[in-house]
Amino acid sequence: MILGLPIHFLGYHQGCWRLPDVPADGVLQFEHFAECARIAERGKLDFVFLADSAAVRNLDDPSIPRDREHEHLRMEPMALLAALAMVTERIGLVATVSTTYNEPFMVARGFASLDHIAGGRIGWNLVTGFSRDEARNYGYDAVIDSDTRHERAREFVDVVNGLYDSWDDGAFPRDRATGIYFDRAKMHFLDHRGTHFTVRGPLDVQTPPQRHLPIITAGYSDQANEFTAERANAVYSAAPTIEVGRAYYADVKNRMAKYGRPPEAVTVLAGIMPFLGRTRQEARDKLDRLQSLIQPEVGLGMLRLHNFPDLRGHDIDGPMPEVALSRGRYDMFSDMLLERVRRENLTIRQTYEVIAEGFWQYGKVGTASDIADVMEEWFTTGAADGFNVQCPYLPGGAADFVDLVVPELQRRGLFRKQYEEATLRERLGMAPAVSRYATTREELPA
Amino acid sequence: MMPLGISLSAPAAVTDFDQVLAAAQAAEAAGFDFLCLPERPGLDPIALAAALAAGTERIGLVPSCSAPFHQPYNLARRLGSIDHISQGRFGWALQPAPPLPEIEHFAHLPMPASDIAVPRAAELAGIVAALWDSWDDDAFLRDKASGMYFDRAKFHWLNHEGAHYRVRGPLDTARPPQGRPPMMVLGGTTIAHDLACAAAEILHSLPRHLADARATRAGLQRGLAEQGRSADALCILAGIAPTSADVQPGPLRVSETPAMIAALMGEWRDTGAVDGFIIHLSDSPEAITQVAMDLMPALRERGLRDALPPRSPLRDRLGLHAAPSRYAA
Ligand SMILES: Cc1cc2nc3c(=O)[nH]c(=O)nc-3n(C[C@H](O)[C@H](O)[C@H](O)COP(=O)(O)O)c2cc1C
Repeated sequence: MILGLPIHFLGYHQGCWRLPDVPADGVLQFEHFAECARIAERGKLDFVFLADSAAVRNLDDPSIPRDREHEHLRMEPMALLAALAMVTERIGLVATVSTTYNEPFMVARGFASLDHIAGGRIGWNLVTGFSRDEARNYGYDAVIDSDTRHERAREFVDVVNGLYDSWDDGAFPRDRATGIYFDRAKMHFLDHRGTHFTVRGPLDVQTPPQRHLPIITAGYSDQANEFTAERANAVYSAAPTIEVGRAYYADVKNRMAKYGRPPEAVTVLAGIMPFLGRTRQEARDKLDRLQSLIQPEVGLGMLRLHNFPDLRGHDIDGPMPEVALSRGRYDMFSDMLLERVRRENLTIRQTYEVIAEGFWQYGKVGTASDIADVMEEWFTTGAADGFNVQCPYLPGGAADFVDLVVPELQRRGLFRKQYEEATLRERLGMAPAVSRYATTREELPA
Repeated sequence: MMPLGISLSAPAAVTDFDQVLAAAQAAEAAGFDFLCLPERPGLDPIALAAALAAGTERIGLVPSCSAPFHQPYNLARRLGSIDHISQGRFGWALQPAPPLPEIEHFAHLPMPASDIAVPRAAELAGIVAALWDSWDDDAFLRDKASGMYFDRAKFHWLNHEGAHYRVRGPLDTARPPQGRPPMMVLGGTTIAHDLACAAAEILHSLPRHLADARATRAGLQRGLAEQGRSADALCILAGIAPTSADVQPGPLRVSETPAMIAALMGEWRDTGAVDGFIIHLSDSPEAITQVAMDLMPALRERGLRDALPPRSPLRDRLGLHAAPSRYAA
């Protein structure tokens, strides 16, 4: 089982920043991230994960009270990852970088450098940017259509991996006696000329330790899933129920055959949000405490973000009125939620509390063994190959997971007790990367 | 105190991170104010600065980047983050026009004609600095009891629509600890001096002798006045290298004894030709320590340096004024 820890602001639950033990200013304190990463490494997790979108979103929508939320400020992931490499030794480090608002040469150079600094522990969460607020920070009036973004992403990956292959193994004899620093015959100009990019190469950084860094993707649009099947090594999936998880899992894996890839070449990581206690009652109390910290205005804003209309002015403890959902990022999940609202006669407050408890991710309230049970079920019945553990609050939620759930997973033989592999590629079960220029037998890994 | 930096300027690519880390730690232990990480083959300077921010405690970190290859929003958040990580020890050097071989990796981008390289880089630098002011210093209440995280009256849309960039803002990180991490320009060319007068706070100059340094200063003062900036808005630091150093050509080479070098530095400083110096060295920690052991006592004797400078923001160490937000009353 593969386990990642997203260090997502102060946690995934909207109320988390108001808990007494959560550092409300942590998003700008390197020590907050360092502490979370050290906890994850103590638990032998595979990687920490930094999601990203280069904007403060929805600031101009009066129905979304961003001023009462904690998710707006961040540290830029590539810079943060370089610093985290200094305070960790074994754990993988994954940063999100968009192919829409960056240059492939810069990204290749940055990631190659990070991979050297971290000794082969870096992964790239590749996104194409879904947010209009982000687009407007880069001179666009609206988000480019998904087809064009994914077409650019494909070419972008070709260029980046091509640049990583600029130098063959052994290209730098650095021989003081002969004075030969690098071997010209082992250097390649990429000379890429495509629709979006013209890049000569070579990369001016030596081949990164992993040669090709693992690529992680996320999303559930048709374009995103197709890209995942074709190019990704792992995917962060969105699934609020095991049925949705299995359907997503099968969908991605079924798409892979036409690219000549075996299903195990993509590791599916489901998002799970554990509300964890030593007893079920303690777990329930923790969730209740967090739910009580969501201000009603914030809850109504959450509904807005998930396709519900502006419900300001309604009694939040009254029944959800007749509503027509708009279309947006989470259509399938919003539709599922509305069905549940109707089936269970939920109030407005109960509806946003359902979102906070796990909307596109799977929320589970219980003891370590309850949480391990569901993880085992997802893992063994084709819903996930691993998880991104979305702690509702940080760093305490990560410490609880590592101290309580990890030992339980280890006891069941589902998770490692020691780090063995050196690189993130190896940990994700990937074979050593082979240069596109490797032709002779001896250059191919055994 | 006379600002004193060091520039890692080995002629060959440096791809061994441990060597760079050891060099940075040696420079820090020797009491240098900051470390320049120039653009050169090898590890990316901005990535290096971010890693070194966590691997050092006192020394300033100043990586270089080339203006045409970066989006201002990306630069503002990445560089601002490093100022947060380093707790105010960050500065950056902006190169308006990169050399030809680099341009070939970006041939799909429209490259600015040479006559607009400076205005374009100045616009970029202006946007970066403006994005850093997106949130007022006291914007964040983080009041757990009332549930108010920030004050809506204290952030600013940028809505920049310029000749070269459109950026809406606000930035997704808070004001850097220094407010405005200082920007450096590597001098020696007319366009570099134009950009320095328009937008920089540090000029890394490369004078050949004292008269040259004085002429440069005089020219820059005129340029600053034309831009409506005061003469002390730009800190001028001259690059010098011990003759034994294995570094790229550029800096003035000095071959005197440590006492004579210290005397020369004092003279240049006292005549107002420069404000301080940047010593060019290879990435060898031993060479850095050796130079420091030779030179620092001589500088201390002349009152040009303290024993070990305090842990303070890079702006302070360079003698730059505080940088309040453009929106501060
Ligand atoms: C679990 C999950 C995590 C995601 N994380 C990010 C992220 O960190 N940054 C980002 O820009 N997009 C993120 N996305 C959005 C997707 O990358 C994708 O853009 C989205 O599903 C919309 O599809 P489209 O790109 O085809 O429009 C995430 C999506 C999911 C489901």
